Amino acid sequence: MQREDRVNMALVNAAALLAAVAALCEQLSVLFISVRAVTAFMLLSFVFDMLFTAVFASDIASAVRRKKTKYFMLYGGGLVDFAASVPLLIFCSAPSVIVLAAGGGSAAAGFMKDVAGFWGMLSVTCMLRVSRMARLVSLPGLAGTGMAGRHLSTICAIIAASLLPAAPLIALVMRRAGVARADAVTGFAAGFMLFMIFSVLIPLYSRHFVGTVSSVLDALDRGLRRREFYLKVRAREEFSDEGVYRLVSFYNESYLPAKIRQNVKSPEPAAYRVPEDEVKNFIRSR
Amino acid sequence: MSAAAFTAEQRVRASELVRFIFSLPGFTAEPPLLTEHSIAEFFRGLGAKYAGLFSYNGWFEGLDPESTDRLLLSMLRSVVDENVLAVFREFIESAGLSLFDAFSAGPATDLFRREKLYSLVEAMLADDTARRCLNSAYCVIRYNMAERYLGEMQRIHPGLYRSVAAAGSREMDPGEAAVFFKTSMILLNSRYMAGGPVTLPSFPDTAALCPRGDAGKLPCAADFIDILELRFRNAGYYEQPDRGCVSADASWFDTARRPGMVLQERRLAEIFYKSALERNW
Repeated sequence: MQREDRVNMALVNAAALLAAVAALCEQLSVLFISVRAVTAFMLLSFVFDMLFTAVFASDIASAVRRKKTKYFMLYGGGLVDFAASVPLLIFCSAPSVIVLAAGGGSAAAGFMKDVAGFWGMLSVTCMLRVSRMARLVSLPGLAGTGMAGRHLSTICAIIAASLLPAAPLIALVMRRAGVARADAVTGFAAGFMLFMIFSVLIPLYSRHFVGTVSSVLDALDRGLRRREFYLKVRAREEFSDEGVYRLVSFYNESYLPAKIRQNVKSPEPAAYRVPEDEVKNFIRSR
Repeated sequence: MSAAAFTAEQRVRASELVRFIFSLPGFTAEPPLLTEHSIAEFFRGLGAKYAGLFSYNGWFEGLDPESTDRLLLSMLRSVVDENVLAVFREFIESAGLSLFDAFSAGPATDLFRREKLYSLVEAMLADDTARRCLNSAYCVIRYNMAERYLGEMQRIHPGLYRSVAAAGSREMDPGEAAVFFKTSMILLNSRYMAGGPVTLPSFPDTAALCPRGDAGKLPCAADFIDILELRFRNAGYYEQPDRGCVSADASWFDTARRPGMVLQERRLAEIFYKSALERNW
């Protein structure tokens, strides 16, 4: 990954975290703070919705170009990215901003107000905005963009999708029970719950998955492919019955000693692969 | 086109490219003598393969593809020489070589020994096979491997240390022993030169001075030299172990201590494995 891409990814991840916090603050301001604060957070959410719609458009365009649209949508977090960007912008934040700008006098503004009001009643907007945090799994210190990232993205998508229908139902029950501002209360509660789940799940499960599955497989892959790679894979006694660790045991006990024995006796030098793309980019950049 | 015919700009470009490859992940932490061959293979035919790219970016103007390959290969060799010789030079210039007075026919000045040893290193670098095998001496000197494991032996098994750090009938202190083993690594690798092993005046014949020990007795200096040579002959240092892997020395010594491996004397591997595991080396 080039430096520019890494910077862009860091910025988008930071924006995802800020957008989640802003969405929670927006619901909180409906409950406890002034109308002016609600307006300010609504405008901020609009900006984030535009940003993430642009990011989604760029990602899907890149996926189409690489002929990986299906992979991106189903396994690369595309569905969550889509749900948390385009519908929110078109049906929620853009109508709200139009109503705000038009002052609510015209018929069009009235229609927009109804649209925005309907989405507000669904009380899923906050959850959708918080679900953007699923992007954080791609950070290199966490799961990264490989297998661990894909697994964690899927888990985040399943959690968000299973909680989404619950929010409008709970809001409906609370409205019937006469709770004031039931949508905002439900929206905040559901959004906060999702925020906490993601905040705990992403770092802890990333660490667990990377430590026990993906890094082990990466090490095995390097050991089996690269002639000069002599590091043993870290075996875990407690998982020794599992398929991955049975393979680790075979690699450590049989394959690696045989490889070292053969290589030490061989006059053949080591074989490192020079990354051609990076060399080409370097030549182009000078 | 002869090497002298390359322009300064062409040389600078080639040097930039070589240094860039050495700065890439996978190359940066590895000894240059280990990765050099892979880069040389990459460079062979690159002039023709990248002709369009080089020409579009104004690199190597006026050079035909074969000359471009030759320039890149010669620059690779010179960059590796520069890096490797700097490590050997630092060791040779700072080591107290007068300890070899006790092992050779008569006294000689440090300056004389330094000149001889440095010339030998240069000659080995000029020989293709010996150049590659010099990786073991380079790693032992560059990463202070001799000091590392002599220190561990002295700490855990003083008796073993006394047995290993003895050449002829003379016991060496840790500082002397480190210089002795590093120098021996250079001298022993001269056996891979096309003309056969070289015996330098004023240096002892290490193989004769440190004969292999008897089975059942404690490991000796020859076993220590053997294990260091095998560890690094065809391997990298792996400063940062990859995620999911055991640290480098622990991995290697754990594998080497098994029956049927290449070592004749496995007890050192057993001890070094425990030390490496404990210290995460």
